Amino acid sequence: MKFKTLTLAALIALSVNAEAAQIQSASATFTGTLTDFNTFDGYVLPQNNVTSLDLGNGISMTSSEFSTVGQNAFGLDQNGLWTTEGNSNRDGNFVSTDFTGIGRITFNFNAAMQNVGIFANQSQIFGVNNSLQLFAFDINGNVLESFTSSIDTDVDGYDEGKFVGFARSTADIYGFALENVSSNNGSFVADNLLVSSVPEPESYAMLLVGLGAIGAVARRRRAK
Amino acid sequence: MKGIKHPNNDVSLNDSGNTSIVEVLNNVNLNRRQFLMTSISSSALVAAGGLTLSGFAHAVTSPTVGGALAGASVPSTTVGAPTVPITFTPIGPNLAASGVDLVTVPTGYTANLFVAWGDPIVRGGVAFSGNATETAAQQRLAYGEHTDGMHFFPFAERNGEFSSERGLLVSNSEYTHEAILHPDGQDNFTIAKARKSQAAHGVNIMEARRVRGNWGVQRNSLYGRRIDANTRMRISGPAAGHALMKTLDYTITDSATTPTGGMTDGTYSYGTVNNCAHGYTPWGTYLTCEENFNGYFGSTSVVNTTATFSENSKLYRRYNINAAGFGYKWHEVDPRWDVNVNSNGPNTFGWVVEIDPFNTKSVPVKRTALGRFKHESVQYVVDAANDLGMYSGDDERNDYIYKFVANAKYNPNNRAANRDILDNGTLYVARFDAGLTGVWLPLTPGSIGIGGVALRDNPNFAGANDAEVLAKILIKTRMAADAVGATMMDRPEWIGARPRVNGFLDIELYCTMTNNSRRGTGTPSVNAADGSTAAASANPPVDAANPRANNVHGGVIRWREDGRSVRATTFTWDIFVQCGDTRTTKTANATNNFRGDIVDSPDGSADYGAPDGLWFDDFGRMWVQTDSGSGTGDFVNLGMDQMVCVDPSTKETKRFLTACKEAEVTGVTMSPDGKTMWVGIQHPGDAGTAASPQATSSWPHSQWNLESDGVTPLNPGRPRSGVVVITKNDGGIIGT
Repeated sequence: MKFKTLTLAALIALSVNAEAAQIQSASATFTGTLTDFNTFDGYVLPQNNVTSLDLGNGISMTSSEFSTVGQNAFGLDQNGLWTTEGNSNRDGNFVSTDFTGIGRITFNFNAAMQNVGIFANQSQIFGVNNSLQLFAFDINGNVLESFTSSIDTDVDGYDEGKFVGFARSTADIYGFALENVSSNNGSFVADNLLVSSVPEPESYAMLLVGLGAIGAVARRRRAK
Repeated sequence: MKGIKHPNNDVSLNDSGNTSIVEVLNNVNLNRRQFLMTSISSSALVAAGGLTLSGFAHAVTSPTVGGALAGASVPSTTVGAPTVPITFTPIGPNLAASGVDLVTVPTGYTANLFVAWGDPIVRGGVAFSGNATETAAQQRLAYGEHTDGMHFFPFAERNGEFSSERGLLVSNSEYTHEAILHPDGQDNFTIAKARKSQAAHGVNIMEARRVRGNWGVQRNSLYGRRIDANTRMRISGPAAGHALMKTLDYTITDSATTPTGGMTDGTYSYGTVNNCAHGYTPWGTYLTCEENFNGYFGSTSVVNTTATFSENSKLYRRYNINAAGFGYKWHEVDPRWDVNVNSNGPNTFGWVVEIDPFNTKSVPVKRTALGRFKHESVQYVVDAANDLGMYSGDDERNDYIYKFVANAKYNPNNRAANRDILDNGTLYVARFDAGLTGVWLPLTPGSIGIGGVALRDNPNFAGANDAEVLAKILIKTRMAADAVGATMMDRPEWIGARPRVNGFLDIELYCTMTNNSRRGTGTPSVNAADGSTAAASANPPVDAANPRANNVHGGVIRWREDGRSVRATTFTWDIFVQCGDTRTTKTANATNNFRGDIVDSPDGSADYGAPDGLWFDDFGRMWVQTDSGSGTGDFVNLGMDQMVCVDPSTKETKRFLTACKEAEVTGVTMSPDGKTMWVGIQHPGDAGTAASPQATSSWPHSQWNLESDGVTPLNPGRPRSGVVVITKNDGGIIGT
């Protein structure tokens, strides 16, 4: 029964993926190319003449107000604290925003991505329900889709958050952005940007396993 | 520092004062902070020092020029006046004759105990027992003894601001009171006792958090960390790897220090000791200063300190390393501290150590480019050109004031670029000339010393090349300063940098001269240019910068860098204040009436002496802490040690805090909003013995039953050094 539940869950995840879906998960839902920001250390973006920061792997980053790339500690009020210590979702340095109003960080990709996601959290002050808006852009900068996510983690916790992003049916994402919805106290943090341009081999394998499992269940039911 | 190892400031050759922290003049980067301009004008931000990386540019949240202040009157517009007025009601002295075993603050303020020796600050720590039966392993998880310099590193948070309710409080634990540290004192001294003593030294990193109005240490914080006398460190800069830095290598365990049979390569060492005051950097790291490191070394055999015997014997003489040390006995059970076994051991101490408190896995780094001496504190200044200076005094009678200037500029937009800029630069030593001018004398291979000989040609620093010469100059910094003719000072203690507020734009530094009983007394003599004078053994005559014979009460000297640049090689100076006792009955000599010239109203209401800690808050107010002893003798009218608040523009002085019995006040820092202040109280009940540890004080238990969180019980049984947290009852800014 347990096996059946797991495989059905995998199948559901894939079916959602096939319809192009938002990702809101406790941890990463796919594998791909990782940007962990640990090679940066307190880099202020934008600065001087640098408005687009090369992150490597054909990925660049912009920030509408000041952000710190390679931040090493950040308080999130009621959502706890981010540190370099981290956990299985992220560790080391990360990105934090210094936004005083509504602001956005955007990751631009040289090649089309099918899956994009990042581990994030945001400042939450007591009595206010802040949220983030996430965007996926096409090659022309048009919004492919977007959704809003509110993250609520333990006030006493460290390095907690949520993996948020998009899984598309085809590789058509050229930009991925996070924006604080509220104009005040909306600073957020993000780490471990993950992108993949094609369905992962694991996904195909999972799909085959899932289909096989459903077949087995159907055979057992018929046998009864 | 004083206390049991330093019966008074004048008894031993190696005594010294101590204290803690310093404030900063931050560089300004308007580009970085342009978003702040909606609420703070650019000029105000520049004046306040601007915002730096990583969280300690308190200035951003400072109520600045012309701003409305809660509970305060309109700020002065006088150039250089503090942006927050000093309006608290001053308190009287805590006289020994009628003294109380309490830390006292003005009416309208509340002081609570934030942390004390033995309190658990690292995950897994246990509550202080009260009878000192804790093991070395337990001490390694607990707050060290004899707290000193400290700094609050607030966490960055929303809106580009810094938290005034959560951050890292990093502090020094300078030394130990062995009679109180162990249940039976130093009797039957063992490696276990040495290990506990070593674990009670060093640096404390704590997460401080205000919950429902109450400050407390986050006991289970992942940041909780101790760095002690056995922690492995990296050595960097020009002296790293030099032959004099290579020591015997050891395997250090709880039960033994065992030779590996090899030597270190001079790029790493173990431990930091006698961490007196401190500093911090604009990129968010802590600097701990190794002061009286000499006292931990000793030998079971005679130590040769002959000036002509060997390089090390000459160094031992100039830095006062001898067989007895300060009586810690470590060398009896731990060969690493026996200089006749591990002769280069002392050369790995006397440095400024950089620690990244935000990275729990970071390895402390000894930055040799800043020189080797008894660093009291280190104060950074970033000038308008983004040049970085580090100012530090050598706390020994007749020793010197130094400045390190980094080759590279400080980069406020990329912390990575700053990580190692303390490794390359020029070290200078100060010469204070009559006529209120001064010269920064570089300590480089080409520097010409007395007699017209370049340091590279001076046998003290001879080397295969200039790189080796520089390494030797830095390892033997005092001797290099002797050679170039630096001014012998009256025990330089903390250095503070005056914030550039209210239109004040100068680079102005203040340094406490705590005292000098050898000034103008005895047969006149000076530190020999060949570096052969034993530490603190000269009797210099009075001079322009040190004008008082038998300077028992000390004072504060200040200087301004020419051209408002930390790269200046010349400066102007004056004596800001001479401390003293307006009611003294001491017989005046030709240069010293012992009354001083403190500006207070009514006259004598803020008398203080033996100034040690000196720190500017971001509002431009100077706080001075004293290390005078138990309020007797020349200090009988001044009372127990204290902290005063000073307006640098008017010199007006008010007493803000008095200590409990036999305690020194050392270490001070604030939250960014100025509404929380932490102050260190060191060695209460200094006369306590193993048989009667609470003979003269039982502080902090004499004052509180609970810690500042209002929950954690406070065990009695020992007087304990600790940190108090001070808030204003109306929620206002401290000092108003």
